[in-house]
Amino acid sequence: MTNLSIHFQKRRLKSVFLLLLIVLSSLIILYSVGSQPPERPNNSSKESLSSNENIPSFRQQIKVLKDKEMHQLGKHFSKHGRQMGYASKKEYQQGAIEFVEKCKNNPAAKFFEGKWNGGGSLDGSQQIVVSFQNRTAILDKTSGKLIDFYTGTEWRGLIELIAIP
Amino acid sequence: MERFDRVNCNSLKNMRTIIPAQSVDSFQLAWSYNDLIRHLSDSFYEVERKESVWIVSYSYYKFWICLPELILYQIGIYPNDEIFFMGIGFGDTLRDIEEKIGIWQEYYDLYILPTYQGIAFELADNSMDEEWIESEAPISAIYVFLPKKEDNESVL
Repeated sequence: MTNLSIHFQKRRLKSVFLLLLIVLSSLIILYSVGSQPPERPNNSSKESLSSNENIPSFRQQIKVLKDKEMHQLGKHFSKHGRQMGYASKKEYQQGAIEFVEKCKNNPAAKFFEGKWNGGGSLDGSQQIVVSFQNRTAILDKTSGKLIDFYTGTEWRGLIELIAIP
Repeated sequence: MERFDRVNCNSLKNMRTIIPAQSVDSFQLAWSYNDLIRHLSDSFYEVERKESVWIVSYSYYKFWICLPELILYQIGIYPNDEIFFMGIGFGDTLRDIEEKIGIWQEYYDLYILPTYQGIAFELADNSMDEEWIESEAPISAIYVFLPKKEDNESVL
């Protein structure tokens, strides 16, 4: 064997060894990445989870305009309020506000949204229906203004009704 | 059977025409929004855009435009001394309607005339301390509208 051929063989062995080293180190890197334990939620993600739980539901976000009279208060008091046991328009209005506020935190109360189709100044407005224990309150979705409060769970004049969870 | 009444403009000073389910003065129901705007003085109207309706306020009128069609389907007329329907105007009561026109019916918060489709009256409310008496409450708005196609009666 000549010196030249020995030299070439040594170089070939070196190259093979180098190649094996690269493959081996790549395998080690891949294994170490793949076997890392799943990332635990840090403090900030814990905070976001708990704040999600605290976000009020849609029904809890429904606002009731407390400092403005119910739509057609005189008429509605005359038609429903007195029968419901309220002595004055003021008491009737306050009773309606308290009813809606209590229902917002009551899972047994039913909430719906619909579009008023009964004509007049409210026509086309989106309204919220709140019903519980044979009483119903209606309010304007956008302004929160009370529209009606009466005994019974029927509502007429509203279309495209959807339940609010 | 539908009946429409055209009030003669010449019979009373400044009186304007209401045709139930059709028009008020020169404003025609079923106009497009653009038709309506063309008939209004440019700087004197406001448009309130709601989820499913646009409401255009102009002088003592309000115009309801349905979406997405953008068609005028209701005209509201508010207190003035120019508009009457069969002699009934603002400040008159349900008693006056009975005397001059005949039977009325309650329709939600409005009062309609069974013999004239497409017109309704709204009564004024009163102060917190006063008793509200239906037959004595004055008319505070008149609505002229296209007959409704859909209605909904729901019970929980």
